[in-house]
Amino acid sequence: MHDFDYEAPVDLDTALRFFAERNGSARVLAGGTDLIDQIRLGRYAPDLLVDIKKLPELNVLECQEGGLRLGAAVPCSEIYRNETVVSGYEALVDSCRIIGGIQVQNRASVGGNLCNSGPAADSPPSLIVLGARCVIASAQGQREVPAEEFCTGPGENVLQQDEVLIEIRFSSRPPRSGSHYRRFTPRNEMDIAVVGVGASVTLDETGERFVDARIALGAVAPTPLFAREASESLTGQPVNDETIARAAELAQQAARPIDDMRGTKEFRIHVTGVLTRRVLAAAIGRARGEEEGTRIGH
Amino acid sequence: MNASTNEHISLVVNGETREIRAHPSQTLLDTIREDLDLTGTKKACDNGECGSCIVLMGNKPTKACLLSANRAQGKEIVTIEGLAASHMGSGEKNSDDLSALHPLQIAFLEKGATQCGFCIPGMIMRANALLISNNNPTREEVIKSLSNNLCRCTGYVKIIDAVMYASELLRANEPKPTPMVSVGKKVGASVARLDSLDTINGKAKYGADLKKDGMLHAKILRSDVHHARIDSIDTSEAEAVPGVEAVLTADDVPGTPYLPNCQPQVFVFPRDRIRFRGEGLAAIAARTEEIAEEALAKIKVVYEELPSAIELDDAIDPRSEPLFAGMPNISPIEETGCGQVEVGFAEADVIVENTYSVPVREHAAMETESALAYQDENGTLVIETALYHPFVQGTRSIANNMGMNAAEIRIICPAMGGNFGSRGDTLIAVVAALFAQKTGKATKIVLSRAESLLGSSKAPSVNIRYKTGATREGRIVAVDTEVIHGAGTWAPYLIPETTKGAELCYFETLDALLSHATGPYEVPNVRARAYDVLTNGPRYVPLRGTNANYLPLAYESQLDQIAEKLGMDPFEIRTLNAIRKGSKTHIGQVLRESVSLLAELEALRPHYEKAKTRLEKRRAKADGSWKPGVGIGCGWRNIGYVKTTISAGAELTDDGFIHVLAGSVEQGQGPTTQLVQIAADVFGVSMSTMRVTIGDTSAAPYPVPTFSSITTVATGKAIQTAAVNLAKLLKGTAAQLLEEPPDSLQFNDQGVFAQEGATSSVSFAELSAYLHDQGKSSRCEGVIEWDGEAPNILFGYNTGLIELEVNVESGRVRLLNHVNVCDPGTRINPLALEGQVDGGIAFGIGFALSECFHPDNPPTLKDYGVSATTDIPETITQLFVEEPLERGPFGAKSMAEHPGISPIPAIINGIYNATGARIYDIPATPERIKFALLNNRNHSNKVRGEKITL
Repeated sequence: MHDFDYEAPVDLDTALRFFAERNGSARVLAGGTDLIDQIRLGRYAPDLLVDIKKLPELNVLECQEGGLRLGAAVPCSEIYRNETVVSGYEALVDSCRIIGGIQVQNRASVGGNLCNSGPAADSPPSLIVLGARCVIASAQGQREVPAEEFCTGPGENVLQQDEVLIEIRFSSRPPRSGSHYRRFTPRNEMDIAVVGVGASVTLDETGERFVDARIALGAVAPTPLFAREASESLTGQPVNDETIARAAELAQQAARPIDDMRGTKEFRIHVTGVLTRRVLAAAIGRARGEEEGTRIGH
Repeated sequence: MNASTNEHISLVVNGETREIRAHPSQTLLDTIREDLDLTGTKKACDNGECGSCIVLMGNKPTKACLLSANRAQGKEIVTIEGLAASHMGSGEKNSDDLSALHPLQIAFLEKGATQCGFCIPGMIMRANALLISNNNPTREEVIKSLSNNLCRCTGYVKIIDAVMYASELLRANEPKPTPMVSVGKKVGASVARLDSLDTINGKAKYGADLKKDGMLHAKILRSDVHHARIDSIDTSEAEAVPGVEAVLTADDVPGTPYLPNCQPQVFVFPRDRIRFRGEGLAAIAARTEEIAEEALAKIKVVYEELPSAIELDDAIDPRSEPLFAGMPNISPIEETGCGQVEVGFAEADVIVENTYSVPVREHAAMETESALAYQDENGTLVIETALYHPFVQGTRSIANNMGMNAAEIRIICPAMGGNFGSRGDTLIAVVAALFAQKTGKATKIVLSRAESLLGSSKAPSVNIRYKTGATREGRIVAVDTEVIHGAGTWAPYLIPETTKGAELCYFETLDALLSHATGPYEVPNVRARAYDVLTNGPRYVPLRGTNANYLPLAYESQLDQIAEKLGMDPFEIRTLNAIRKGSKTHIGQVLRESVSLLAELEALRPHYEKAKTRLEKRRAKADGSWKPGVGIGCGWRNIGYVKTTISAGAELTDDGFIHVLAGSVEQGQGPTTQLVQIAADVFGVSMSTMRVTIGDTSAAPYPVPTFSSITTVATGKAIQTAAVNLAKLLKGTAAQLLEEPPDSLQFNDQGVFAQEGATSSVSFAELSAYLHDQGKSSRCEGVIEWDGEAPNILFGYNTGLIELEVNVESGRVRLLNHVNVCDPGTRINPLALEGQVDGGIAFGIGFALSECFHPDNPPTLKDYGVSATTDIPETITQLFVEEPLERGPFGAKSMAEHPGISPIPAIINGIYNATGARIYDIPATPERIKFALLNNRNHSNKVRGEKITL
């Protein structure tokens, strides 16, 4: 494996200074579940790994009036064990339960999953539909980027060499909202989605009309994708099979998948439609406070 | 490694504080295995997919391969070696004392949950984490929690059983039952495997666990192109790296530069041409693995890439360049048959014809390949490596490359983490041996998973054209088939005829494949043709069920199609045509013994009727997109494709144990235990009186391969015969000493006693000493001549049904229930036998639904499609038809391969039954099913000229 130095600073300023000084040769080590493997495979050859697990700013997990604050280093398992989060941000929890498997969820973080910027990553669609904002820090200061703008290509994102993702912020959820994330894999225990779909809906008081909806797709484009037209097609529309089918069709049109060993382009587009319908139905059920079916599977 | 950046790390491992220095790039797994020498924690995938390296860190299950050691700073870690003590809660150390085992370990022993054992420490540690948080899990919870732990042997059923049982033991909190390890039961008894105690304790030593002081670590440079002309290989810069001790290229192979008895030639290292992606080009031995890797990157290979043909159709294209100069890419066509196929089809009322394909498949044994070579004190070159034929492939083949005599080489097989046909490649053993010879130092080589997946030999891709004709009554009257066998860069068809048989036949060639062409049915008119095709794919080797598990996709699909056309039940058409005692196969072999297909079908019948009734009910209440279906399938496989003499030995040890010796190897399938059971039964003594030596060319010099399902039936019989001979010798000797007639004598665990007046006896140790004083050896041998009707000695039969559901929106398949019927002749160890069948079923499921390898995009274990706990049917019922085989030991037949065949066609037929979509190309992935549903047969780029005529 490539040789590198290792630092585990306990305050953010020190950490940011490493990145400012290292000119791109430093990398963040969060859970390490992907990075260790990537270094071993020679995909990255950093000179310095900065362990961010000890930085308090990156370990915050709290629900306030203004919404949810999720530190970039919080492990997935911490998120779904926190009932406050579970109650309002179901899609995020769905994602966290899927990433890796329990042994990985104890260490893998949503921040790491996002910064890894894999097109098929399981958390970005949920972050996008929940309207998350990514808080990015450098020695120069902080900035915020909407989740749908964070990834810029396979393994690429908006972070500059001296920047670190420190936190993901979510607004508080309006009443009668529900969200869901689901992915399709050919078999139960495969780790990489062939297609992933997240959806969040807010319904009116009757529960029969969309006030707002957001749909996002994974594994069907070089980056996680906010399906804007599909989302907007639902605004103000009644909740029925027709409007849902229309949104699914628009989601399919937004998809720009590739052929690879896990699935062909045609199949991915097909599955995008099927999943969008199912995920919307589940999000609507949650917005209405309905009991969840026992068979959420695939 | 930069020593200056090494950090001091303090860990509490198995209750003991351990201080180490590790670089931040070092994983916890390497720390545990290398620095702390706790090799029970295994490295199998090294990328977090398989769970073999799971340890407990602060009571949480943790994949040690994904964690930097320094992240474990100050943490409490429990490994398999410390599990029992962690449970006892005292300072008590784990030991061979059974009462000191953790309930999970006891449960794994008693439930027969271990086979090769490589995944077992990870399984146990993962299950332990579950039971710590929930001591009363449901079966579903166990399945879910183990779903990221891969196993290739067991099919998971007995592992899940064991975890459920362990939770009972934990809750009962009663004195633990004693596992049946050495209880005096014999043939027919479900005894725990003799090697399972080492497995569940983490003490078993596999290749990667072996260490020698001052040993070197070797690495192989592998090609990353499919096909190229080599201009030059420059190793000078690599040789200059400090710590590098030797470099090997094609110039450094002193003997034959290619594997003997293979045509075209398989080179240890190619000199002028790269023929497949992953081919080894050069190797480096260095003080550490890291140095070897660093130096590898400094070897300069200048090459010119050539057009490659990976797909069979491309390689067959006459415009494609021959892979070997002067040799066509296509072999001569081999043909077998009977009757007049045209006449048969003229008589047929229904004819079905189609093409089918099977992809390249990977063995995916949980342990990757390894070899450790060194000179012992006598100057013998010892190679500790897992090979299924340590004699011919091992000593003989390696000696040839080394320019040595076979007698100068000793092969010892360490614990083997699965085989399935993959352990036939001697190349890494040759590399380790060459380094050991060149440097005078022990040299170890262990392949990484990625390297193993890319560079190891594979099962062939097979394209099949198949045509069946039947009468209005459902009687099959003609079969015509053509099979294209993708051999990769290695086509066994050119092994000279003179060396094909006997000792050199470690390939089952096209005639073996063709002898399975009709399936287990009587067909009067048959034409079956096959040819090999060379491609730039990985080299071909057999894989579990080889030759027998490609064609069922074709013939079983067509039987169902014919039955449907004729309005017959799929079950009845099979019964009508089933091969039976006295049937003559299309190659003229008359089947006289243990022909059990009809009996199997009758055993399956009530289950099939129930499944059909359930299907009606499920169809009536099917919800939305999940459609239920039932499929059945039959298959057969040759047992003992060997025309040779097989021998084994039995003797008394000086300290009074009965010692059996065989050339077979333990690869998880269980001969260690089974051969002892057979011999113990001959003597009527308990297994604790027995010792066994296998897998060592010097200590047990009885050349025999361990493949093609021959161990039980042939080596088992040789052991039985050897034991009978030893019993005769001992009784004769004791008769002189006791002055009693030999017939009146009997054995017990101590020795020989007289039947009447039991005071008169002589112990085994006394007998041994007496023979020794007389200058006689107690070693007796059993010799079996196998010269039966070629090419197959006999067949094993398999029948099964699958109840499943298919999601018509996504194409996913959910397996609900599988009933598998097979014919072991006699069950020597029912528990072990069930484990073999479970494992076979998991292979069949993988073949049918997920497994596929392509060198353009080498997968990981999971992407490749190894079945996980969540992929196996919710319930599995095994039924056994026992029709004893006269020539088998106590009537037993081998069982390792044929039980995995029926699930393949049963699933494919079940998918059709559920949805009306017929699958011609396996694996039946959701995508293929979905497009078959959309009637888009051309989707997989294959034009299907399906013809059904009535």
